[in-house]
Amino acid sequence: MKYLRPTLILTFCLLAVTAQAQDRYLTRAGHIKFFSTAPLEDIEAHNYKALSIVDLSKGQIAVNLLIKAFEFEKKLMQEHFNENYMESAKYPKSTYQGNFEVPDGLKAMEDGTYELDVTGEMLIHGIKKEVATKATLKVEGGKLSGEVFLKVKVDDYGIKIPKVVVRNIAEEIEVTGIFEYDPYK
Amino acid sequence: MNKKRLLIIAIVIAAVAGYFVWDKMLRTAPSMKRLTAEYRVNAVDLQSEFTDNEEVANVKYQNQIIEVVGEVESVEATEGRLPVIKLKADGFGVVECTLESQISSEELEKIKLNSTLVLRGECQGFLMIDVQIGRSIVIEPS
Repeated sequence: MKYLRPTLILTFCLLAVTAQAQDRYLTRAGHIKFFSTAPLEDIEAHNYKALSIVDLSKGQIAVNLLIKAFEFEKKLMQEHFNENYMESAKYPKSTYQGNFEVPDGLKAMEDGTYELDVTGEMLIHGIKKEVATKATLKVEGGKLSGEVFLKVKVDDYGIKIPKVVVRNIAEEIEVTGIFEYDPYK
Repeated sequence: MNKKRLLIIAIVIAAVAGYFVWDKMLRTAPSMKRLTAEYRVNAVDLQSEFTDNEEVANVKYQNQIIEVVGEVESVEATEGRLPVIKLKADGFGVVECTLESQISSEELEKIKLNSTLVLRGECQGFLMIDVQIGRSIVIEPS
C-alpha cells in the first residue's frame, strides 16, 4: 500500500510523457510527386524520401526534401531539371512549414478523415513564399496518414523556362504529397 | 573559291551548332562507373559529420562523388522505383544509397544484411538524421 502512491504518480507521469510524445508524428519516406502537363508532353517525377513531421498539439506540419532525390523516367530530363531549372547544386533543399487548426477528433486520434486549411511558407529554389492550401490527415486504427495537393507557379520561385521548351513544361506544376506517419518519440 | 569558302563556313557553323545542341540538350552525365571519388568515408563517420555540423559537411560532401563503406541495414526494391541500399549509421540514422539504375532481383538478393559494402555515388545531402546518396553503384564486393 505504501508503494501505491508513488507508483500512481509515476504512472501518471509516464502517461503524460507518452501522450506528449504521441502528439508528434514523423515519416522519412514521404512521397512527393510532381506533374507538369504542357501541349507537347507530360512530365512526372517522384521523390520517395521526403521528411515530414506533424505536431498535433501545436497544429504544425513540416516537410523537407532534397531536390536531387526526384526520380524521372528519363535521365536527361532529370539532369535538365536539376541543372537548368532547379539549380539543385545551389539550392539543394525545399521546405514547407505550415500551421493548421487541430480538430478535437484529430487531437484525440479518433478514426476519421480531417480536412484542414494549412497556411505556411514554402521554400523552393532559394525563394520563400506564403502558401495556403488544403490538406487531409487521416486516422485509421491509431495510424496517421496525410495527403496534400497544391499548384506551384514556377515563375513565383524564379525558375526560368527557356522559350525553346516553353511548350514542353507547364507554367504551373501540380505537387502531391503522400505521407504515412509513425509516432515520433 | 568563294563557293568552297562558303561551304567550309557552313560546315563549321553546322558542327558548332551540332556540338551546342548535343552539349546542352542531349549529353547525359557519365555513368558512375567512369567517375572517381573525391572521398572514401565510413558510413558512420559520414553521418556523424553531418550531424555535428551540416553546413560544414555540405561544403565538403554535397554534390561530390564519394565512396561509402558500411554495413547493410536494408535493401529495398519496389516496383517502379530505383533500388535503395541503406547503410548503418549512428542511432536511427542511415546512409541511404539509391542505385543509379535497376539491377536484377538476383543481384539484389546477393547483398546480405549486415555484410560490408562499398558504394560509389553522388552525395545529395542530409535530412534530419539520414545522408542521401544518389546514382549509387556497388563497387565492393564487385
